Amino acid sequence: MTRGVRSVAGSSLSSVDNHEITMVRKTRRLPLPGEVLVKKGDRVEPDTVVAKISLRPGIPWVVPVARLLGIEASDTEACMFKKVGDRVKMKEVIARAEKGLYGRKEFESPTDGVIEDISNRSGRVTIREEFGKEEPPVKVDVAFELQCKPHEVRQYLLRQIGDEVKKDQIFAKKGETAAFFTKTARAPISGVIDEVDDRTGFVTIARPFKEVVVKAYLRGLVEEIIPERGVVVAVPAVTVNGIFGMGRETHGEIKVLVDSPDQELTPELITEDCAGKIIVGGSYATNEALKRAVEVGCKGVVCGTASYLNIVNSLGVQLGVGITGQEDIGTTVILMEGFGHLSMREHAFKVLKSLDGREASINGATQIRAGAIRPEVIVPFPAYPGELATPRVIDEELKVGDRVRCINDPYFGLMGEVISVPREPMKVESEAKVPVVEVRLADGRTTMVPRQNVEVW
Amino acid sequence: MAQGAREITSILATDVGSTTTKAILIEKRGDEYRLITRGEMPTTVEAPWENVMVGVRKAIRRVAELEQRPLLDDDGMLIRPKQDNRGVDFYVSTSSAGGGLQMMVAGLVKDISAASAHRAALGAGAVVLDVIAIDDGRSTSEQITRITELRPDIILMSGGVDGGSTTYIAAIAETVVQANPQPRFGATYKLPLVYAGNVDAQDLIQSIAANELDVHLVDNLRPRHDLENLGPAREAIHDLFMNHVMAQAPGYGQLMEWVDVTIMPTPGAVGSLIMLMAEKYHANIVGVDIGGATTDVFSSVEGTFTRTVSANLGMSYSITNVYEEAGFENVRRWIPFELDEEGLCDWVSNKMVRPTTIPQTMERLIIEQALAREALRLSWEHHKSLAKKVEAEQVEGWSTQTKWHRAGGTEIIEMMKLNMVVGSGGVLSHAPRREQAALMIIDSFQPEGITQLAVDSIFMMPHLGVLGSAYPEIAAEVFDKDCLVRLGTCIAPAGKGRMGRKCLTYTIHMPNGEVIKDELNCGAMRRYPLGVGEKAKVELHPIGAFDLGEGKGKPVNAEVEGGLVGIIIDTRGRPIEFPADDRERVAKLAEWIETLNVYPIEMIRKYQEESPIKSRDKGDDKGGKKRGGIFSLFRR
Repeated sequence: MTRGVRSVAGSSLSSVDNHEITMVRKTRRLPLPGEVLVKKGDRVEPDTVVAKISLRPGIPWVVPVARLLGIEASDTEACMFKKVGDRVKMKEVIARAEKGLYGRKEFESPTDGVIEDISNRSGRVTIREEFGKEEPPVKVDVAFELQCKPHEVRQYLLRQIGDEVKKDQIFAKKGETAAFFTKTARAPISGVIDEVDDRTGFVTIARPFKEVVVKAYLRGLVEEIIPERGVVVAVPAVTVNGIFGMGRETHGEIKVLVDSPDQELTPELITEDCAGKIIVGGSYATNEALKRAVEVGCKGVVCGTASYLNIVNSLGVQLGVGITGQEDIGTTVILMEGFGHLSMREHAFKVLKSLDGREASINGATQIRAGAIRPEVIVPFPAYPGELATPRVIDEELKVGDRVRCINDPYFGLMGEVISVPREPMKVESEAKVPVVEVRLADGRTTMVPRQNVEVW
Repeated sequence: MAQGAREITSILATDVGSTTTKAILIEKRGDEYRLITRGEMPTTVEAPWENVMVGVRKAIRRVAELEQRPLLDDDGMLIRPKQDNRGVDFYVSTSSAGGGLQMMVAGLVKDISAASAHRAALGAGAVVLDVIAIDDGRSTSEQITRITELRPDIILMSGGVDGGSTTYIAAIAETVVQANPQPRFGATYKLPLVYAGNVDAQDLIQSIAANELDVHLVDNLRPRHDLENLGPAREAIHDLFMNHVMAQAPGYGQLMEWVDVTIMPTPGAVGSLIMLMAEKYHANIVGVDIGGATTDVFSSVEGTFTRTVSANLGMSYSITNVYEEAGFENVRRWIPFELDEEGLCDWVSNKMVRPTTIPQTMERLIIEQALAREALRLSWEHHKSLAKKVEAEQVEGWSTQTKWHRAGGTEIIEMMKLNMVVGSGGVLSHAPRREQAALMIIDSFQPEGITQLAVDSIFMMPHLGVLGSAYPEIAAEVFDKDCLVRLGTCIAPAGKGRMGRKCLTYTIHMPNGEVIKDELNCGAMRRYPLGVGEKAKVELHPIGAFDLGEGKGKPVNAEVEGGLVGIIIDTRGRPIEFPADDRERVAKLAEWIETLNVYPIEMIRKYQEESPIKSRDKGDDKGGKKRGGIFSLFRR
C-alpha cells in the first residue's frame, strides 16, 4: 500500500513540472510461504519476478479405508502396510484386513503420492498426490464418450467449470434409469475442469497447480525482504489517485490524447499506436471509446468519468459492492471523478499531461469499504536526486475561502468557494436538517450545500 | 443485579463501529432512567492512530462537553463511581470495528447440525464466512483448500446427537485440522474452536484438535434431532470474541479493562435487546438495521430468535449491489415520476464511490428511499427463508423422508402473527418525515393484519442491548422512553382484489370520543392521526377473500396504539399490486403519497410535469390488446 500518498497541488522544492515526488513503498507478498528471488538493494523492473511458490501442495485424497475394509476405525493403523510419510504408487496394496478364511479384503492406493495421515479415530487415510512439474492440460472428447451432441455436453456434466476432479472420477454421465445404457466420461488426470467447448464437445481438465509469482510492479529498489513471503519495493515517484477503477496491475507508457480536462475521450482519438500504452482522456469516456481501447490493446485508460451502463455493457464488469481489481478485462480503467459526465480535476490533468511519454505502473484495484483502497497511477523517478516531499494529509475540516466541488445533485460537478460555515444545522430541500456550508458557485450563485456533499479541491 | 440497579445513577455506553464510535449517557432523573445525551467521533482502529481508545475517549469527551460535566480525569481515565457532577457509575461497550466477528462453521449434515450451528453463529453477531458439512457437495480436498483460504476469528463445530456415532465427527474435525486454518489477527495465538456437538465426542475432539487449535467445549446445540439449544454456543462465542479476538485489536486491552460487562459484537447486542423486548411485551418482533454496507434482520417469533445478515445490501458502500440485485424495474415502481435509467445508474454508482454524500433534493431523497425499500425487501426475503424452528418431532408419515425433512426445521415467520416491526439505520432513523420511515417499512415488509411500526431514534439499540445483559430493567425503560419512536399501527388485510372493489369497512373509536365509520376500496391507503401513547378501539370487517387474522371475511375487533404517524389503513393487497399502466401507477403512487403526507405533493406534481411518463412502445406490450369480455371476470 502507498502510505497516505496523495498527489495534491503544491509548489514545494521537491517537484518536477509542478508535481510532487514522494517515496512510494509497495509490499509485494505471496499468499503462501514461498521463495524470494531478489536481494535487498536489487534494482527491479515492473515485470521482475520477486517471489514465487514453485509448487503448491497437490490434491489430498482422503479415503475412508476402515469403512472400505469393513473394520473398526480404531484398527485402521494396524491394517496398514505403510506408515505416515511413505511414498505409494497407484494400485499398490496399502492395507489389508483378514476376517476368517474368505474374509480377506485389500485396499489399493487410488493415486501416486505420499501418505500424510492415518487416523484411528475416523478410519481415514490421507494421501497427498504429488506432481513433479506442471503438466499440460488434457482435453477429453466427452461428446464421443457420452454419444451425444457437443452442445449437450454441458447438461450431462456432474462437475462444473472450476470444480476439482480426481483421476478416474466420473465427471459426466448420460442416462439415469438403467446402468446398462448409461454412458460416462472419466477424468484421465487429477485437476480442475477448465473449459467446456460447446462446438466440439471437448472438456479441458487443467492442473490447477500453476506457479504463483509476484512481480515487482514498480521500477525501483528492493528496500526490505519479508522472509519466505516477498519484498518491499521503494522508489521516488509521482502518485495520482483515481476514485474508482477496474482491472489488474499493469504498466506502460502514458499517452495523453486530449488537450483539456473537459474534453471527452472518443474512439477516433484512439489510434493503432495506442496499443500497449496507458491512454489519458479528459472528461467522459464514451462507450465506443472504451470498446476501442480494449480492441486496440491499450494497457490502461485514465479518464474523468464513464457511464455505469457503458462499463457493464462494454467491459462486462458488475460493480457489486465496489471491490474491484481482479477483473480480466485486458485494459485497466481508472476513473478520476466517478460516473456521469464530469471533467477531470484540473490539477490531476496537469500532472498527467506533464508525465506524457513516461513509463507508469497502474492498478485499478478499488475497495471503498473498510480501509479504502483507491486506484492509482504511479510514475517512478528512480534516479531523482532532489529532496522528497512528505505525503500531505488533507485537512477535512472546511474553512471559509476553501475551493470546493459539489459531489451530489443538484450542483453535481460544479466548483465554488466556501463563503461561510454556519454552526447550526439547516434544512435543505429534502427537508433534512444537516450541517451545511455556504458556497459561491463559479457562475456567481450562492447556495447552501450539505457539508457531506462537497469535497475540498 | 436488581439490588445494584438502585445504586446506579449514571451509565455510559459506547458502540465502536467500523466508521464511528458512538457514546451515550443514561442517567437517573427522578424515578426514571433517561437518555441524557449522545456524542459521535470517528473510530480510530486503523492507521494513523491504531488505537481504538483514542476514538472512545474523543466520543466520551464529546458527551462530557455537551453535558458540561467531566467524565475523564486528567490522565484520560474514566472517573468512577460518580462523585457529585463527575464521572459515571457503570460503563459498557459493543464493537463491530475491524469487520466485526468473522466465523467459520462446520457441521455434519448441511440441513441439520450445520444449519443449527450457522444460526448460532449468526445469532451471536458473526459474519459467517463459510459453512462446511459432510454433505455440502464438496470433496474433502476442496473443503481443506477452502478452509485454508479462510481467515476466521473463531470456528464453531457441531454434529451428531448426544450418544450418537462419533466417527464422522472425528472425520470433520480432522478435515479442519488438516487444513491448518490461521486466525485473522496475528499469528501469536491459537485459533479458537468452539465444539458444540455430540458430548461423547468431546474427548475425541480434544485429542484431534488440541495441538493446533484452542478447543472450547460447550453443550451440544442439537442434543436431539428435534431439539435445538443454541444458547451455550452463542455465549461461548461472545466470551471468546471479547477475550481472544478483540484482545488482538489495537487498544482493546484497555477497553476491556474499562468495561463492567463483556464487550459484545454490535449485532449480538441488538439481537439480545430484541429478545428482551419480545419477552417484555410478549410480542413477535422484527427488527432491521439497514447500514451503509450491510443489513441485519432480527426476529423473535414465539420465543425463537433468528438473526440474518445480508452482507452486500446497504445504502452506501453496497448501494450498487442493491440496484443490481433488485433491477431497474423494481426500483422504478416506487417512483412517482419518469426515471432515466442511465442517470439513475450513474447516481447510484457515485453514491457508492462517495459513500458519505446525502440527498439534497427531494427527487434524490425519493430515489434513495426507493432503493432502501428494495434493500429492505431483499433482506427480509433472505431472513424469512432462513428463520426456521426445530420442533418436537410429531411424525405424521412413516417414512424417514418426513422425519428428515422436519429435522431441517420449519419456517416460522407468519406475517399475520407479527406484532411489531422496528427499523433502524440512517435511512429509516433520519428520514426527514416519520411518514417516510413508516411507508418504507410497510412497502418492504408488507405486514399483514395489525402491526405496530417503530424506528430507533438515534441508533442506540446496541448500547441498550449490552446494558441489558447487566440491567435489563434499565435497558427496557430507556428503550421504551427514548430509543423507540412509535410511528403507529398499520392495518392491512391480506389477500388480493381488483382495484376499486370494496375491501374493508371499519369503525374507529378515537380516545376523544369521536367515532369514525368508513370503508375503503382495494388499492388505497388512509391515515388517521392518533398520538403517541394514545389508544383507539377498531372494529374491522374485511370483505370477501380478505383476511385480518381471523379468517377470510371474518371481523376483527382490536385496540391499536398510536404514534407520530397514527393509524395507517392499507388495502393495497398482499403482495402490493401496482397498476400495469405506467400513468396509472404514477397516479396511484401520488395518491398514496398525498394521503399519508409522505412527500410534499406540490413537489411530486412538479417532478411529474418536468419528467412526464413516456408512452411505452406498443411492441413491448406482450399481452397485446387488453382482454375484455368474459376474460375480464378472471382477471383478479
